[in-house]
Amino acid sequence: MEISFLQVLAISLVAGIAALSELPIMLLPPVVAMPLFVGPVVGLILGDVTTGLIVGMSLQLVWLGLTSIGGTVPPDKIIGTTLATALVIVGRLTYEAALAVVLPAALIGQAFGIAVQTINSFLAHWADRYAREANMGGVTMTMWLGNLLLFLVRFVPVMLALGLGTGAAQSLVASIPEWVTHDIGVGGAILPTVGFALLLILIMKGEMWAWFIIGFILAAVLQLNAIAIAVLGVAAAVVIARPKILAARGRSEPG
Amino acid sequence: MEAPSEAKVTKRDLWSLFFRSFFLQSGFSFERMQALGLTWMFMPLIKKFYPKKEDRAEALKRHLVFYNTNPWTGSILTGMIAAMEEKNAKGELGDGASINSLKGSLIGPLAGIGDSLFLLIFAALLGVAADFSMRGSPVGVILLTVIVAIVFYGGVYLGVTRGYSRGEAFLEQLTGKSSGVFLSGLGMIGALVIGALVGTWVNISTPLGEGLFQQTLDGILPKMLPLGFTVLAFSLLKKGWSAVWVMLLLLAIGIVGGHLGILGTSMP
Repeated sequence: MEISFLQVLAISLVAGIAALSELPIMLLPPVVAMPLFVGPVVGLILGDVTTGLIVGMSLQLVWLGLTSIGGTVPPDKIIGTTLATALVIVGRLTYEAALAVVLPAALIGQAFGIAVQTINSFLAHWADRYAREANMGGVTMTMWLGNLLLFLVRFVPVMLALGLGTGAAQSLVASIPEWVTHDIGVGGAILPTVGFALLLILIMKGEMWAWFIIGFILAAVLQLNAIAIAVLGVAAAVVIARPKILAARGRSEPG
Repeated sequence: MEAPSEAKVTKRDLWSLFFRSFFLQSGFSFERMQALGLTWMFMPLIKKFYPKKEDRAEALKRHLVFYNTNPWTGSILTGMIAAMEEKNAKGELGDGASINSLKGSLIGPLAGIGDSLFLLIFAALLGVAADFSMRGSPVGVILLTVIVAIVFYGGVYLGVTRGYSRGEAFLEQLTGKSSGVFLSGLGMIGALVIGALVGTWVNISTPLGEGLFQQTLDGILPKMLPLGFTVLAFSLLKKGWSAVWVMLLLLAIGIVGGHLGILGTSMP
C-alpha cells in the first residue's frame, strides 16, 4: 500500500500540531501530543484506526519509561509515533521492528528539541532589546519564531521520511537483522516497568504499596479489566476518605 | 513610577489572560523558560496600565526574567500577578519588585503540586484508557481527552479568576486538610491502577525450556516477571539511582536477555 501525498502532508501536519500542543500552544489538551492519541489519528488518516489505537497505546506505555531521560527536553515521542504507526499500518512492520524505529527517532527528535530551546535563548536576548524600546511587537515576534522552529523540527522530518516513500523505509528496516529487532523488542517491552516505577515513586507513601499489589492481583490473577478495578478503587477511596474528611471538617471551614 | 492611571482589571482582561495562558510555554528556552510566554500574556494589561513608554519598558523587563512553573496550577499565580500589576499601576507598590518576589516564592511549590496532581489524575485515567485502546476501541482515548480537557481548562480558568480575586485564600485551600485527604485518595486509586497496568499490559516472559519454565512461574503467580522488573526499577530509584541509569540498565537487561533467549515478549 502506498501513501498519497495528501496523506503524507496530513500526517506531517499532525506531527507539527502535536509538537505545538505539547508545549508552546496548549490550546488543545496536551493529550493531543501523546502516542495514545497520535497513533489513532495517524490510523484514521491511513484508514486503520484500530491498529493506530493499539500501536499508539503500546508506545505510550514504552514512552512512560523513556521520559526519564534528559531534564527539560524529554525524548521525542511525536516523530517516532507517527513514523512507527504509519510503517506498521502501511508497511506491515511488526511491532518489535516499530520499536527499533521509535527509540532512535526519539533520541534524534530530542536532539532537535534541545537545539530549538537553545536557539530560543538567543531569541530571548533579542526580546530583551525590543523590551528596552518598549517594542511589544518585537517581543511577540521572537516568541512566534520559536514556535515556528519547533513546528518545523517535527513537521519536516516526518514529511521527509514518509515522503521518501514507505518503500524506502520498509527496505531500510528490512535490512536490519532480525535478531536486532527482536532484542530491541524485548528491551522495549521492559521499559514500561520503569515508567510505572517512576509514577509509583511519586505516589508511594506508607500503605500505597498494598494498593499496588491489590491492583496487580486483581488484574493478573483475577483478570479484571481496568474499568472494574478503577471503579472498585473509587468506591474504596470513598469508604476510606469519608471518615477522614468528616473529622477534618470538624475543625475547618466547609469545603 | 508616574501618576496612577485608570487601572482596573476587567472581566475581559481576565478572559484575555485565560486565553493567553495557553501560550505560556511559547518560545521556551533553557535560560528564561516561560518568561517570554508570560510577558506576552501580560502585554494587553501592560498596554492598558502603563501609557508611558518607560513604564512599559520597565514592565516588559520585569516579566522577561526566568519563570518556570506548571501551566495548570501556575494559573493561580497568573491571577495574583494581575492583581499586583493593578496595584502597581495605581502606585501602591513602590517599585514593583515585590511582583517578582512573589513569583520567585510561588513558582516552585505550584510546580510541585501541579506536576504530581496532574500525573496522578493522568495515571488513573491511563489505566482505563489502555484497556479500551488495546482492544481497538477509541472510547478510551476520547474519554481521556475529554476529562483531561475539562480538568485542565477548568483548572486554568479557576486559577486565573480566583487567583486574581482572592489569591492567598485559594492557595490555602489547595494546601489545606481536605485536599490532603483528596490527594491520598487519588494516590490510592493511582497505585491501584498502576498495579493493574503492570499485571495486564507488560508483556515479558521467559522462553526458557520451550515455555515450560514460564508455565511454572505462571502457576505460582501470573505476570511475575513484569512485577519483578517493576519492583526492581522502583527499588533502584528509591535507592537514589537516577532515572536515566535505571532505564538504561533495564533496557540492557532486556536486550541481553532477549539475545540470550532468557527473556522474551508474549506479544503477537
